[in-house]
Amino acid sequence: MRRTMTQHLMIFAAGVVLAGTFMAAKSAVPPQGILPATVADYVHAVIEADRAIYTKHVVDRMQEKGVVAASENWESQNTLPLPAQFLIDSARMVAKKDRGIRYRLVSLWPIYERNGPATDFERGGLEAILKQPDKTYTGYVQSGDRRYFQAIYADIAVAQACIGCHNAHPNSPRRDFKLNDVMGGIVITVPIGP
Amino acid sequence: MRSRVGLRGKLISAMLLVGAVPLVVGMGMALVQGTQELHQMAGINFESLAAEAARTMDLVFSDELTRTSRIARAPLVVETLEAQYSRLRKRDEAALSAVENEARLQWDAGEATLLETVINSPVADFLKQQVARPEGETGEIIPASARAATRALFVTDVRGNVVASTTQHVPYTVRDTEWWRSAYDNGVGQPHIGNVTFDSQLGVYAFHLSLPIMDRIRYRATGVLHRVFDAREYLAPSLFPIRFGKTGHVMLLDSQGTVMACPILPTGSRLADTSLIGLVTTLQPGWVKADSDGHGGQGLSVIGFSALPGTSHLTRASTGATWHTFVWQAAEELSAPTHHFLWWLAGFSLVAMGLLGILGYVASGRIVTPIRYLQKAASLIGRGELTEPIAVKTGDELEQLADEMTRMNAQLERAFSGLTNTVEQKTQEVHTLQVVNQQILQSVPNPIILLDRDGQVEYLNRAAQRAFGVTPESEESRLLKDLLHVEGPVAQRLQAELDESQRREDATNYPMPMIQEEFQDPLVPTLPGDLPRRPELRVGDRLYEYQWFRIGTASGEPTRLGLVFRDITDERRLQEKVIQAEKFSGLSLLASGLKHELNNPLFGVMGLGEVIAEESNPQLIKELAKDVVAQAKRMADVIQELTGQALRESDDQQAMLDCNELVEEVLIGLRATKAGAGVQIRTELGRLPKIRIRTNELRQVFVNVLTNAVQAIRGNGVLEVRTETINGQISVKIHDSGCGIPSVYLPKVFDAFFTTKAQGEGRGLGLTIARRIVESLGGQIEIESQEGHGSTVSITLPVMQASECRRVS
Repeated sequence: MRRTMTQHLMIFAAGVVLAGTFMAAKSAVPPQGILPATVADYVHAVIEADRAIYTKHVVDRMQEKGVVAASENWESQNTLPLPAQFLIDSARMVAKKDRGIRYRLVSLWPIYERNGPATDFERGGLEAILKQPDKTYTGYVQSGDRRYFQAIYADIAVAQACIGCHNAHPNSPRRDFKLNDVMGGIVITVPIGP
Repeated sequence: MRSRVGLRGKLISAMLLVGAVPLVVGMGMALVQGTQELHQMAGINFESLAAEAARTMDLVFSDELTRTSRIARAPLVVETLEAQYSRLRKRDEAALSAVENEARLQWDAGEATLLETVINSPVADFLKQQVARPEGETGEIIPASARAATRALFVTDVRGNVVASTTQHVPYTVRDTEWWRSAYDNGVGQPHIGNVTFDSQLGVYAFHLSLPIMDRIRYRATGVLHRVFDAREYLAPSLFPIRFGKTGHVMLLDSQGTVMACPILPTGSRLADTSLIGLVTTLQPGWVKADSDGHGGQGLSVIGFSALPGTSHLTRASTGATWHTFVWQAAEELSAPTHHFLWWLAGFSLVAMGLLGILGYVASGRIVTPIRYLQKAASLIGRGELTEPIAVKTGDELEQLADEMTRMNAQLERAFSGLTNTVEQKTQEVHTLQVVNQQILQSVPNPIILLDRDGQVEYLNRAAQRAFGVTPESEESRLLKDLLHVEGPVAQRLQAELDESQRREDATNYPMPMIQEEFQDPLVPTLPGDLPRRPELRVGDRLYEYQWFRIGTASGEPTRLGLVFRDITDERRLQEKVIQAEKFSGLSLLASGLKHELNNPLFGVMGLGEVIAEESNPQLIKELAKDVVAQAKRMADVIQELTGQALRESDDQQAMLDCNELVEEVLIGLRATKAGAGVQIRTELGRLPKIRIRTNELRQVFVNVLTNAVQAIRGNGVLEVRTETINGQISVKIHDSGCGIPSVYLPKVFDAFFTTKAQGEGRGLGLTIARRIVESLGGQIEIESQEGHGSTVSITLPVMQASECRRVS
């Protein structure tokens, strides 16, 4: 419980810092801009924390107590959304805010193809973090006439729910995940320039 | 005959009933339960079928989505749209609008240049190629139906304008359509699956698959790929092969009740029964029993349904609608097995009932035939004609019954023959009794009359006929009073007695005491003085006493009355004569006693008188005169004794006295006499209470009695005197062993002047006086005697008399 509170406080603090950062960036261009990598780190911390809380304190707990399970078709089956769906839907919500920053889940073994690596950069990044999970893979990419900073964070199987689903799903290309395996990554994209 | 048919009919109908009731109940239960279970089973089957079909369709749509999204991710398409996006971003809104309006007009007009750039661009070629190719990029097979059902595949840019298309039958700008907005989603992009709607340009019911075309890094949507399917053609290959029975099928419909594909209903139509929509479009799979089938049919239907879980997730996000499979079979076909079963059961029932009827006929025959035989035998027994044993060999209770009946018949025969003998014997006895009765009645010398209840004379015995002058012919219907020739008060008295007899009988049915008393023997001689005299009746010159009696009959029959008469004319005459004679004899005895007692002194007086008359010596005369007075005194004494005056005149005082003392005193006196010299006197004197009494009176009693006793002994003999107290009374018994008294004299011994002694020995007044005294004291004196063996005189005196006297004094 104490731990939970602490985590909440941390999330809150991170949120405040993040919000403050963006507001400062909008209101006036500071002589020394914040680094995109830092922004990505902040955002990743929040994403990670939110999903961890949801996974451990909602999904795992409810499933263990037999109250309600999590499943892919959670709407029709009256269950909880999977942690991955939680993240993806959160990302959609963030994207709809149109603040520029967007993120998504990618994997070398995606259940749905759309969640596979879109670019060579992403593929390289996923392979890199597979070897060094604790090292963020970053770089700049071009799309049309615009440039973006991308950071790829290793996504570790932290809960039984993650590997359970991926090892069992008929569409899953890989079914031998274990706890603490790198299952994929979170790609955070920050537009650079106007 | 009727009962025979009835029994067989009853048996058969009972068996049929026993068979039919369970059959009907069983059929009813089978129908209800069978229908219930059939529906249950069908429902569960339909539900699983619907779920199965839903999963299949989910896969179909999921595959389609994957394949189509590959087109959307194709580098050519992505790069083209990315470039288009960059181009559009650099131009201002007004310029773009103007260009778009012009292009839209050109497109609608079918301007060749524009069509060329859209339909024959590299991207359009790529799209056409995708539609035509049987294999995908990675070599997977693309179903022919998916290709054939694709009515349009086109790409729009971020402003919703068509960039490339496989056909010109698409709008130029789709910016305002729901599916474009949803798929573009303000640049975020999300797959969109639209509901089935009628596409007027393509002329078909179609559904849209719209996928965002993301930029190279999948940062934002740069366009939308649209694929328009002919709904029916696309879905038919997956859905329509799922058939069962003649009508069972699966259809797909959305949550608004629009039919997307159905082998029976046209695509795009709505479910006829809107109430059904809510029932079958739940997110959970299930089955329902509904009142309509959704295909225009009314009547109970079983419907299975299931949402497409994966696809519905998408459609909900796109349009809010969900897609559902709907599994259904016509009610007639569904219930066909039940009906078939029922028909089969009905047929079986008919056969079973027929068998039961035959069985009942045979079985009842087996029961009824011996019963019929038994019935005949019973009627033979009833007529007493059965001679042979009853031959029923069924080996069951009926055979036992037949044996019992045979035995019973034998016993009945025996009993009847015995009974006949007894009846004859009894009849003979009764006849004899009647004859005896008749003879007794006829030979009785007393007239006897029997009356019926109305007082009519019913019978007269011979004596009565003779007495009342009746011939046997004329005795019919005659009233009693006419028969007896009585009138007036006598007739009334008779009628009253008759009525009284009948009334008593009616009221209490208790015999009249007067009649019952002598009913047993009405001829018993009457005892004079003891009983009340019977009523008497004078008929003609004869006097009768008569007695009513009742003739008891068997219960229920009226009791009759009878009259028995006794002719007392002669008896009465004789009686009167006897009385007369007794009167005379007592008077003559008294007269002779008086003559005897008075003659002696009288003659003495007369003699003395003659002597005196002749005597001249005065001295002698004086002495003679004294003698005359003495003789006269003696005569006076006689008269006084006769009347009892002498005793009462004497100076006798009452005193407390012990009778024993008085007896002893008298006995002493007797021993001194000449008569008592040879008598042996024995006394046995008990303890007696003293009584108050006149001593001389009682002494007179004892003197008289004891003197009689001593004189009866005549010399040698025994005189016994015994006194005792019995029941509070003093009893004195004096017994002598003398000559006794002849029994003819016994009733007269207490009469005055009656004596058995020789002339001059006694005056015949001793016992008369003794009785008068004893009775005056309230006691009794009795005498018993046996001629030659002596006599016993018993005197009893009450003790109470003494105490009463004391109280009085």
